[in-house]
Amino acid sequence: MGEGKQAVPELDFFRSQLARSGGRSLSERIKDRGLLTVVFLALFALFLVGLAIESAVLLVGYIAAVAFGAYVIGRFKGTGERLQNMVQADRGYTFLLVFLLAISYPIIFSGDAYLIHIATLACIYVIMALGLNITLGFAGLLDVGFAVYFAAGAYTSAQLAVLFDVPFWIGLPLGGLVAAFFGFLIAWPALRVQGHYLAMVTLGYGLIMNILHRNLKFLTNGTDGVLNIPPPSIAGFDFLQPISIFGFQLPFQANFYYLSLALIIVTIFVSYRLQNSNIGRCWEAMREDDIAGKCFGINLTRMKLMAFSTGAFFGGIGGAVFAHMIGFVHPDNFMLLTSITILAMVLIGGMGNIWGVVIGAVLLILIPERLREFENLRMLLFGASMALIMIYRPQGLFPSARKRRGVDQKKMEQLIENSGKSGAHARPVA
Amino acid sequence: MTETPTTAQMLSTEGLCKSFGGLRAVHNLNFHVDDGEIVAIIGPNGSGKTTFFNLIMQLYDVTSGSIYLGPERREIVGLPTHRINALGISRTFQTLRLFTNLTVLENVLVGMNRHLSTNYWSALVRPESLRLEEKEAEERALDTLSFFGERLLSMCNEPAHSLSYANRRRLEIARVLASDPKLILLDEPVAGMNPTETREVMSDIERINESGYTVLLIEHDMTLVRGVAGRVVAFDHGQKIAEGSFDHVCSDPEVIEAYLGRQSNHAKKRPRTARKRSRRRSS
Repeated sequence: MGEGKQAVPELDFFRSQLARSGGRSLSERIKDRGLLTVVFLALFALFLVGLAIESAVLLVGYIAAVAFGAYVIGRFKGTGERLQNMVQADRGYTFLLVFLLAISYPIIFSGDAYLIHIATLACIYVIMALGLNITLGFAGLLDVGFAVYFAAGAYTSAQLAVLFDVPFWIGLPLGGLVAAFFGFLIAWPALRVQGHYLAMVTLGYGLIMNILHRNLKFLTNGTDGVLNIPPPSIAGFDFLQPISIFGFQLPFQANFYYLSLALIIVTIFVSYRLQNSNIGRCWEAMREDDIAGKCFGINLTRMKLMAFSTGAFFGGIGGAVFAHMIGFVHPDNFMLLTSITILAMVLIGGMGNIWGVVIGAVLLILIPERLREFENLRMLLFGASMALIMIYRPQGLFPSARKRRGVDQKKMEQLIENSGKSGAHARPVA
Repeated sequence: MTETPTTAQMLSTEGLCKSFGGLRAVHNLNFHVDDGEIVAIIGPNGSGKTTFFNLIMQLYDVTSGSIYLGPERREIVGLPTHRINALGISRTFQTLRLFTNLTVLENVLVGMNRHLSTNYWSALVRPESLRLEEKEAEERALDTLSFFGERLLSMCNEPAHSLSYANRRRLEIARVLASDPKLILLDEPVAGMNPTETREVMSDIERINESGYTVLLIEHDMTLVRGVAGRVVAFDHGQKIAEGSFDHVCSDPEVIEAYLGRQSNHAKKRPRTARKRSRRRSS
């Protein structure tokens, strides 16, 4: 397609502009890294303090105070954007930082097995929320039956282990694959419908599958559930043994914590690679305008099936880990509420934003877990917070970066004006 | 169609019909575009022009008849839309259909989709070949954007919804060029543009044609049609009523009737409202 256009002198300038933030000096980078470290340590400290608060009333006050603080800081123009730019410019370092903090968590709470246990639960939900984020956040397909894949993964790897002594390390990917198959199964007919209708179909799918979990006794043991699921083990090391390194002991829950942490990294890697490939771009284009997408060669069926199956796969992975950690699988784990919780994690965190979804999932597991005193009010509070978020931050707490960039209207108008002016002179000759 | 074409045919239809219930949107249409031509379709509103485009892209199911692509006369009726694009037909839309939240550059990259790999595993592994392909694609996308000078280039990192109206229309064309098709369908490329912009688009279309693309366009703006089209085809009620040079078609009594209605006071064929509407159009 090289013909028919002439060289534009400004082209090189735009190209260099496109290669973002290449030439920062070393001292600037060190300064930025220092600042990043401080910010993340501070955030982590805030998080730890919140976890350490035992009293539910105090915790509610604390959360309100932190939210207010975040709001006040957010009022200073550009704070969020600057932090975001810093993270964007030094992604590898940020990732390393978060990774180290996550690793240190069980060491800090080595005396409190319960805190490690709920953190592991949070990690499992992070895997699943990231899975749904691929279906919903990237491809824009609203799936309200995510518990189906959770269940598929959990039952598959649990029953394989209990009935056939299949080791966890084989059951885990198989659980994921069976879940992906279940995603494929519903996506095939559901591709004919869109938007709300797709939500209705998947909602029904979730409800039907839950009834099947209760009644297909030969597969799922019905309401008795699958009992005595053996824990994973590596080379003779049983996951129910505590870890001891140099005389320092970590409770056995830390095994599952590190396992799910590793799986989160895999999930983030896959999400990131898909999002930043031609596939991710096609998903986004399809979400924006499916007819235009079709007309530019996007095979909608194939792309939608890919999105559904990949999301479901990670749902299944989460399920398999869950089954082996708890040691017991019951249909009650996979009810509509589970699907809605996972959906809420993605919506609250910010559709399409990987880190936002991670934070959304962590908050939605840990906060209710720590507010057990208000158990009866849980659904009420849940609903109220969802409503508030939809009113004040309809894109979620951490909206996708690109959408945010579009909001900067002044710059936009200026650019349009400039391009119009210079365009009048730089008219190409026919 | 028994006549032998003098030049290679890019697209041809035989007895193409599309009806929506009792309405015959396109009826028994025999049509052809030769390789390298610019053909303009004109006709009053509702005469089946856009429906014809949708039929070519297989966005609608064809009721009966055939559409052939290329000199090898490959039948494309029944293929899915994305395959049509893969075979080398790209279109713009009368009502803009950009990916508004994607950046300008990404819009063009999606246009390039038919040349890019969408292999799941290679996206995960990212082998060297894929990196190279992506880099090349970005270069090519910038080249394509430079077709419109710096108007789109300067916005390449901004979301498409931040573009001005005329630039959105340009981006639609850039996206089509990026897909490097054999045949380009333009659906009212200058709708809503002022005379200066219209003249620019005219020169753009000529440049596109000089680059070797065959162009089929729908347009109401007669300045543009007169300026660029090598051949004009007039539609009314889903049928071809006239064909030939601009002057020939414009003096055709049937075309004048389609636009203005009959001159007789005892007009029976055409309801009053339709006549009024067509009069406004033709101004």
